[in-house]
Amino acid sequence: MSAEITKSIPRPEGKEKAGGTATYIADYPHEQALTARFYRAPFTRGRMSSVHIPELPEGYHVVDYRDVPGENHVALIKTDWPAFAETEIRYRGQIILLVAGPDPNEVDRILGEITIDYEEAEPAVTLDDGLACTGGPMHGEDNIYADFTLRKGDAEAAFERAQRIVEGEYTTGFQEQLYMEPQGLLVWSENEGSKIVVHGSLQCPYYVKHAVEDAMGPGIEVQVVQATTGGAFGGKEDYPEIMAAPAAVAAWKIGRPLRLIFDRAEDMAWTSKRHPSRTKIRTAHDAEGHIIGMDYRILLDGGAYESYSVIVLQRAIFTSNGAYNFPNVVVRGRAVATSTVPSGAFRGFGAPQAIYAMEMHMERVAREYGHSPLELRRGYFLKQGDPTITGGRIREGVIIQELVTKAAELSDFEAKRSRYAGEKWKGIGLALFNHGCGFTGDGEQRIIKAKVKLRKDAADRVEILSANMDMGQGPKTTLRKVAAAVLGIAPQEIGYRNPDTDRVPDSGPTVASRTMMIVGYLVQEAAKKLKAQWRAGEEQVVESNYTMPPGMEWDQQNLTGDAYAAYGWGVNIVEVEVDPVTMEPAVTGAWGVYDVGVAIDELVVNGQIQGGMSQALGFGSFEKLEVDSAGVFRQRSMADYMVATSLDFPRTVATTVDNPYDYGPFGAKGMGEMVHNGGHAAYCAAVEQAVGRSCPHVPLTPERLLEIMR
Amino acid sequence: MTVAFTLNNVSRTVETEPVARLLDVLREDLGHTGTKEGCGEGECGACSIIMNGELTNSCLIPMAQVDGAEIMTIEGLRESEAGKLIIECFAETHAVQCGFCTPGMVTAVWTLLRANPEPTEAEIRHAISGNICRCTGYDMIIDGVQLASRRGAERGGGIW
Amino acid sequence: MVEHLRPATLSEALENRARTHALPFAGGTDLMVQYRGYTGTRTRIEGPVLFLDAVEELRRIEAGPGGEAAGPTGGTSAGPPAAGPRGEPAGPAPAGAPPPVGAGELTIGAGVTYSEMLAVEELPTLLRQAVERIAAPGLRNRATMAGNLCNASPAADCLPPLYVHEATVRVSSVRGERVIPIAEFPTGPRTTVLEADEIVSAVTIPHLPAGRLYYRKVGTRKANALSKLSAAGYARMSGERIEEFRFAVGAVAPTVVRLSHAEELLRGARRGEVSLEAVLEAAEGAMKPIDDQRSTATYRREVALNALREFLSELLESDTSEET
Repeated sequence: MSAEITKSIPRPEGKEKAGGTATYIADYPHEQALTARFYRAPFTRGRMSSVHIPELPEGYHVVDYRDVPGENHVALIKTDWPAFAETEIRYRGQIILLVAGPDPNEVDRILGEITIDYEEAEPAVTLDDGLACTGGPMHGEDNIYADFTLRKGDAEAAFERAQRIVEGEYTTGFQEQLYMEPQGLLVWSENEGSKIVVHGSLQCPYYVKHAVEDAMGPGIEVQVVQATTGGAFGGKEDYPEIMAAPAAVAAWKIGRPLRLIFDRAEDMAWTSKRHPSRTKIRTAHDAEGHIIGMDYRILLDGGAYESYSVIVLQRAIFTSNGAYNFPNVVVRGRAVATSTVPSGAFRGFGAPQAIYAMEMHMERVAREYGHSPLELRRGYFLKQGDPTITGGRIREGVIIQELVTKAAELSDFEAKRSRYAGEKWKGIGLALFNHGCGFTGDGEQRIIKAKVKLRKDAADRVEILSANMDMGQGPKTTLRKVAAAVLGIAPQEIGYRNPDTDRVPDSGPTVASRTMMIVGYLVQEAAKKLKAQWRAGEEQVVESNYTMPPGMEWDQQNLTGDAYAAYGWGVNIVEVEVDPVTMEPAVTGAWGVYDVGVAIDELVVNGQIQGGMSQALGFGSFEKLEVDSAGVFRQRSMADYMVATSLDFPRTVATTVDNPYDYGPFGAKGMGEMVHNGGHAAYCAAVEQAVGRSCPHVPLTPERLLEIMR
Repeated sequence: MTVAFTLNNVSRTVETEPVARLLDVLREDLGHTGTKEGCGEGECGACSIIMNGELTNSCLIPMAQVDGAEIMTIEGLRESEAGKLIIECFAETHAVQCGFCTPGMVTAVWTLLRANPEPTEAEIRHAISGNICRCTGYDMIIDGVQLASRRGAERGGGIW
Repeated sequence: MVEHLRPATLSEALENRARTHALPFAGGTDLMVQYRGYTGTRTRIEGPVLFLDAVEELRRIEAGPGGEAAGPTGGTSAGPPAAGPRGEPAGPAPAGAPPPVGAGELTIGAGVTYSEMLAVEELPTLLRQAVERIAAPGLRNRATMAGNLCNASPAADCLPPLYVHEATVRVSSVRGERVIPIAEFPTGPRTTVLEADEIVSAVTIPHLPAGRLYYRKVGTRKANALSKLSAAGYARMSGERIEEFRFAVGAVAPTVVRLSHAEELLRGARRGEVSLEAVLEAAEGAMKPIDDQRSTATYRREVALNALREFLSELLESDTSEET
């Protein structure tokens, strides 16, 4: 925490948000706009034969797949998800129609009077249903969106010579992003239908633009503008596209602006969630108990359309070994189609599931062998130059030893761990992890090709032109600081508006812990250029383009090489006390120590660490989201789906250790996601010590704990 | 029905339904969009306002009950010295991330500090327990309240 | 437009209720959720609404005389007598002569909010513990205990303490008043004995003689949470003998339940002669918990029994009964 740039500045957009003048999408003036709502499938799986629409009053409209001028799909990674369902329905709540009109009450009435005729098929609700192709396959011939195997060394041989094998199964549930601002868009067409304009609460303006372009077809221009966004956590990475494609079609057909603001109930019921997972791990041990091999098999529940499942699965398997270098490993990952809402992006993107399994397995091994969980782990830490699971190398200096030592000191881990061994109902646990920064492999170079511009006007005011947005995670503070530090001006003097695809180049989506490391580096490069070319009183524009760090290699076909140019690293420690009457664990301490390269702003970074810990602890404990036999979530309101209040968890002691990265701005790496990678695992590890039993499920609700203890 | 009330110390009259939500009247009829709708069922606190001096969820208040009431919203609070101080301290301590809960949070903190200018951390946690923040984990919000409390005391405490 | 009335007097309110059968609306924190539409659409209350927040008579809190059983509470119109056999749950009276129920009582008007209740020094501890844990400050500033009663959720947080105190509900109409033992007020989930022309006007809570108290709310999280279950208990020792024992549990049956059979086994029993097994078995018989989105039947049953076990061990393993 030594770098000058780390010293925090007040959040530049803090006052307008706190004072209520920041404009979120629902705050836009909308006198001219029609209220738009979706009509969603009232059954889980099957085929529709006909739709019955009541007589529409004048000024009210119903739009369906036949109105799509371009392709009736939402362009995500694949294009299997229709913008409007045609005949096939794969999950309850799938979008069939859009209804719009001036009076929201009338729109509501019309929605209630629409009926459809359909034939139902048997849904495949759970992972096992999906694997068994219950009701027949819905995706391909086997319901498998992706099936990847990674190998390092010779795992089979290691298992053959193993003296002992330790095995366990670890599961994680759905998780709702629960950004405080529900999803919303305002969409209209301009220039006699030759241009579509979308404003909305969204993370990826260019993703939305591409999705709308596909739905509208060639010849129609698309502009996407981000409105101030009230939280996202991945939930506004894919879902705004799902809304925007049908909404753009409708706005274009109707010729009036449409306002599509979700009620919380609709948002909770039908937007994408974190992929549930089930992981089986077997480790092979030699006579001394050393891990000589690992067989790691993870299943992700992808839901009814492919969406991002394949890349979430890639992130999961690439992160599967966590902070460890085991000699002989086989990892198999599969993403499975089921009849639930398609799973999507959520902070961590597969890593929180993968790390959970790995870390809980390390706890199991420590227990089986009577080792200290910390000392056991120290024996396997990755170092610079070590091979990765994808056959690449750890390219950076690794300081995980220092992080662990610091976290253990801050929390008094070893002393508490020994003390609680003799005190029932108390426990302390830890989890270690890393997280690849930026897109996987050569994705940044091959797919994203990020560009950033800096513009200086004739009054010498500098503006950052980037497609990256602030959803609360801080780039309005940090990217400004990067440019300002290079140019030698105050950060508050740097302009940085919410992105508008008509004004800013495609610097890629605001996802994958890439904004600081990848885009921030481009901002730094552009600022250096501008500084070198600075001509006072003249308008100037400079641009910088992403190039892969030298020496990095990736083969996308075989998933081999350097999966990530650099990693963030972290250690979480959590302390609990379990109430023996109610089986409720109370968190009594939480610590997070991280290598983020260099923190660009201490409070921005600590805010991510603390907020991430709160979400991860929620994921570990009470953020329960179950599906019923129709694949519908049982927790459908904020009264039933629990996120932390101010009284649930104590403060998180947050700190970083500098480890500058050559290709990050001022040495910074990514960190926004990894803060959700380990808190739930550390929590379960602590509860395991407190109760003396294995607790391999999250959320580890008191109900589950009671079952474990019975 | 006609509802007459005081909004941020100004007398207002609106024509509305008796069971229309105060939240909607504020946002849609009066253009006071600083008050946010997060859940519509009193669970999240984003729509917090002050009614007759007390913190309240405006999504649960029917307009019939607003007749004769004194309502304060973030639009009024941000003009007050106390409101300005809280807002400034929130920006400084990074109590603000996405910002969607923040006007409601500022409102809850305003009522807390007015009643209790030097609250303990436990009292702060209780006072904001109905205001959900998904971003911060609350640590920096508490820091913001403590900073505002200290600065308020430095100014002689009369600010509240 | 929805017909509505917001009277300033009780008689006006009762007249309106009798004439229109309007929906009684106090703080509205349950009703506004129950009748809410999609964001941007109107609140779906179709019939007439009777807003009670401006009725002065309903906003009173009356502390009964201290130190002895009885007497109408001063000031309130028609306060019910505090003494008498009302409020005993089904089942036999306590073994031996009941002690005077009285360090008096507290009458809380139907329009009194939770925050106002918490400001009352004489608020019984069990009720205070329950009310402090209901929702969050903004909601407690509007919500009322009478509303909680009328909403008649099996998980209503006020109810277990009221069952233990054997509170009574005063119900008013143009026809007069009825005083109903709390345990007879709800008839099932979301249903009560309230007639179409009646409103709840007050709840009277007899104070309990010094004894040991127990309260547990098990919520879906630590604050601003609905209950998976909640339990309230009261016990008084007389030397080695359990003189009185009451235990009520919420969210383990269609209505809040008193564990009457378990209580019977305990009342009059001597320390050391209590068969924990028999008590727990009797307790379990009173519960019919369900699985829902908040918890499981097993958890509710087991934790309720754990709570009872905890209270009993506090009671039976302590030297003397402690002051409340």
